[in-house]
Amino acid sequence: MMIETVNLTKCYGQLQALGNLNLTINQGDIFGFIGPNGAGKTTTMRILATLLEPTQGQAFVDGKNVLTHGKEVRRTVGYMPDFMGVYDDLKVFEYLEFFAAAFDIPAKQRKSIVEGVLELTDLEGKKTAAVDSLSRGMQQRLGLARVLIHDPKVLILDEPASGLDPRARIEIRELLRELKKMGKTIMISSHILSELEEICDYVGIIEHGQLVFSGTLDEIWKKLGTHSKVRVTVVDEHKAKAIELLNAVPEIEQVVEQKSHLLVNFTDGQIAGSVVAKTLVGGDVDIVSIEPEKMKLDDAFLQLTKGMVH
Amino acid sequence: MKHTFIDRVYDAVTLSWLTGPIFSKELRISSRRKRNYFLRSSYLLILLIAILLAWEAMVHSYSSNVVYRVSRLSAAGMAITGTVVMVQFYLAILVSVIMLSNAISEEVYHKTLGVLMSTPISMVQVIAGKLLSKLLQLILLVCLTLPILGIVRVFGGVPWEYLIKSFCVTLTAVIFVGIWTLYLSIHQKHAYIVIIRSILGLIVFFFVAPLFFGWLAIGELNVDDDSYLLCVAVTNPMFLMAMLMVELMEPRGMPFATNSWWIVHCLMMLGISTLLFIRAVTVVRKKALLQACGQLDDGGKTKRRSKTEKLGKIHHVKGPPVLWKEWRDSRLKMGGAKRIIACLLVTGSILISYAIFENENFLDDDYCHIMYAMIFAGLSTFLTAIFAATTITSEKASRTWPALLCTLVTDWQIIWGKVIGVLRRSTLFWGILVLHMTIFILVGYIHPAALPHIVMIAMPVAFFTTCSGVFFSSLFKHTTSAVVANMIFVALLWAGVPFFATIIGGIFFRGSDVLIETVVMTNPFYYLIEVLDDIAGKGDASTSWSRLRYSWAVGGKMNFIEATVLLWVVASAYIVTGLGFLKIVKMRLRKNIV
Ligand SMILES: Nc1ncnc2c1ncn2[C@@H]1O[C@H](COP(=O)(O)OP(=O)(O)OP(=O)(O)O)[C@@H](O)[C@H]1O
Ligand SMILES: [Mg+2]
Repeated sequence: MMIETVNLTKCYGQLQALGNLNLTINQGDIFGFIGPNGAGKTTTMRILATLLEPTQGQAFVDGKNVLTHGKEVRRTVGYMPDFMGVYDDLKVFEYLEFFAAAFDIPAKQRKSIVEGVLELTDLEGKKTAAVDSLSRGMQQRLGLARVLIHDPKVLILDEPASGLDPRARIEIRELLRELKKMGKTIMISSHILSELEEICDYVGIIEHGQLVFSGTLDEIWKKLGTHSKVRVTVVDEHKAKAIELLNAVPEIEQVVEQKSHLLVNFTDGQIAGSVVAKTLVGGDVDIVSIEPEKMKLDDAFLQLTKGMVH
Repeated sequence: MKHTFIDRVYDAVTLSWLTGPIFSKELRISSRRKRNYFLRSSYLLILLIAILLAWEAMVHSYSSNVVYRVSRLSAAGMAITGTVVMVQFYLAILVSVIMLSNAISEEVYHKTLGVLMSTPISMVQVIAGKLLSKLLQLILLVCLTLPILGIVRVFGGVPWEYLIKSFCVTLTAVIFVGIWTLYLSIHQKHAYIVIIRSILGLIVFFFVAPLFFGWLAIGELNVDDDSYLLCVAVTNPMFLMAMLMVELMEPRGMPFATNSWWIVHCLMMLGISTLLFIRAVTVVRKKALLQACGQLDDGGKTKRRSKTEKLGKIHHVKGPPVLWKEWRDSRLKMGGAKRIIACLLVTGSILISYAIFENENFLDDDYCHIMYAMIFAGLSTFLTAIFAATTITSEKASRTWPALLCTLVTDWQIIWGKVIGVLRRSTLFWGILVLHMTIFILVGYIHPAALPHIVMIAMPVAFFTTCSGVFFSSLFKHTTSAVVANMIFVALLWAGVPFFATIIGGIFFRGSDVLIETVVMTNPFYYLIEVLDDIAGKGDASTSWSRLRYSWAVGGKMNFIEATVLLWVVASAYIVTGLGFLKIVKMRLRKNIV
């Protein structure tokens, strides 16, 4: 287990930002941390990065308590804050070298390490640019480069993709995959959920400082019964007839007519496809296609956090 | 929503047609800030205590003769009013500089300027709103003192005229200084740099320039003194205030009557302010347009990508990283040409002042060097206080603080890196003091023994101010609060405490000076004065080392060695206290990180 929190609680005065949060992340996983604004994601990450002290409970990184073993934890963790600042009078190379020195990397190795992370983040061309002249996306990449400089085992990235263009987002995703291959444990929070969907092994959904759900993506689908929706496309002339036929089937809860297809909701997900096929073929309807409706993480997110809006 | 009568009255009172919604927004925000409550109430409190104490001291302690007491009463009234008005004038200017130091840059920095541009609010409203809302607090403060001073008027001796004149001069000066600082804040996002620039600019406008032109006019062009003084009075609020004070205390000593000249002065200040205001509006409008189309970076400078990228040489990190970074950071952020001009201005004005005093045969007098030492040391303390107070808050503001604290750099490395960086930056200013001393030791107007003593006084002052500054900077979130806190702290410690000690001593220790004597023995500036008083000036400068005698307020006469030991003890006390501040900083460094 790389990251573990036990009954983690954080209060800002009266406001409880985290309440008894129990979280475990295994080594080598990419963990997606999802939650609406103000759910407590940043707070959790700051505690794990030793920047905040929890009010109650414990947090461990690589088996070490963040409260008592701050220095070891800092060596293990690379934390990228949600809003990253840059020193405005340093150049990119100097900035990274500064952090290399701050992580006790001997002077002789610094140059090659800095060049390594610059290459990894595709910033080689900007070596001598002043950090504050970089665009938002490049600064984000620079932040990622900084996090990688001491080769941490755990990466904690707070919304690393915010403010990036689609291309840069894909690049970051590639980069994260590569880092996963290098054996790093990555905890990443994001509002762009489709992004997490493609790279995360596990997701945790947090709301009001409580973990609403945690598990693999498959487990989410199972919990939400996502296979109980089928998307049916029929020839236009037969649309009305198809609706009529499907509505007569007892297992079918509801048929929604959408622009080019019908969305069929089942009460039980197991037999969905075959029931639809049999009914329609039996009724002489020309079928174009039948496919299970794939539920997006966005929808799962909405469903899981529904009714708990601020 | 229907506009009620009250709304309309409110709009009329707040000049909303001119200042627009920005003003209301600012008003709401600034009245919400704890810092403003704190500033306002502590100011009034200090003022009230000072007046009561002064009154008590001057009136009650002496004779029971009624006639005598009445005459004392009016003298006391004048003294108190004069002092309060004067102190308030300078305070108001200082506060208006601090208040407006981030007026425009905060909009630029938070990228709200471009947004404002896309609303129907006009730029005139934006600037006027900013200016008035920030100054309103201050003007309110100045107005609040009017009734307090009105009470003092009961003592007699202080004409209403004086209060009104000085009130108007203060007001126009504050408006001018406010616009000037606002104008500077357009180009610079760091509030403390704006503060320093603004104050240096004011010093040049109001002290160096009159001195220079005075020298030119009286010395070279044979303009007669009185018309020159009148000229200065009309153009210079500081001088006019001093003249008003003289007029109050000793009307016969005046070279001219300020009768209606003060009106000319006020109108002129308003005129200049208007011009600056118009200029500010045009510049801000240009900036806003640039920002709206994304061509402005956070610092408020127009982006010049290609140029910055070519700016070649990379400096490699040597030694502890925080120290390395602080060491190379020059802080005033001035480019080459500007820096040279600034250096020339400073050296030039110092040399001119030497020439003027040499002309007056004042340069070999010990008071002359006390004056120089106080100005140089005071300014250096002031700048050190600002630099130190910005160290941590500026990292918090630029959000680099969490990133730094996530590294393996230890707390002490960070703290010492900051402290040494501040000391390095302020050496330049302290260096002027030392250079001055050295020059006049070589010339033979000051005894060489002064040099080690001056250094022994300057170093602990610089170190202590730095430590307290770093402390306040770890305490507060906003740079301006930290700067204000540190300046007030230092001013109270070294000017306020002696002042109150004098007054309290006058009341409780009738006639005896025990309290004030004890207090000044802890004051480095007292030692500065005393050392120069005893061993500077033509007469004292050539005494042999063994004959040197220092006379302190406590402890009688001392020779060089004894004096050195005493100074060393005082210095150690300040250094130890400074270390104590750093210890507190270390303890709370990781609190309130974000
Ligand atoms: N320094 C602070 N002082 C007081 N309250 C705070 C502070 N920081 C966060 N909070 C509160 O704690 C709660 C959790 O905040 P947090 O920043 O962890 O949310 P988040 O999940 O990161 O939100 P977002 O998606 O907007 O980044 C919020 O209600 C916020 O208002
Ligand atoms: Mg957040």
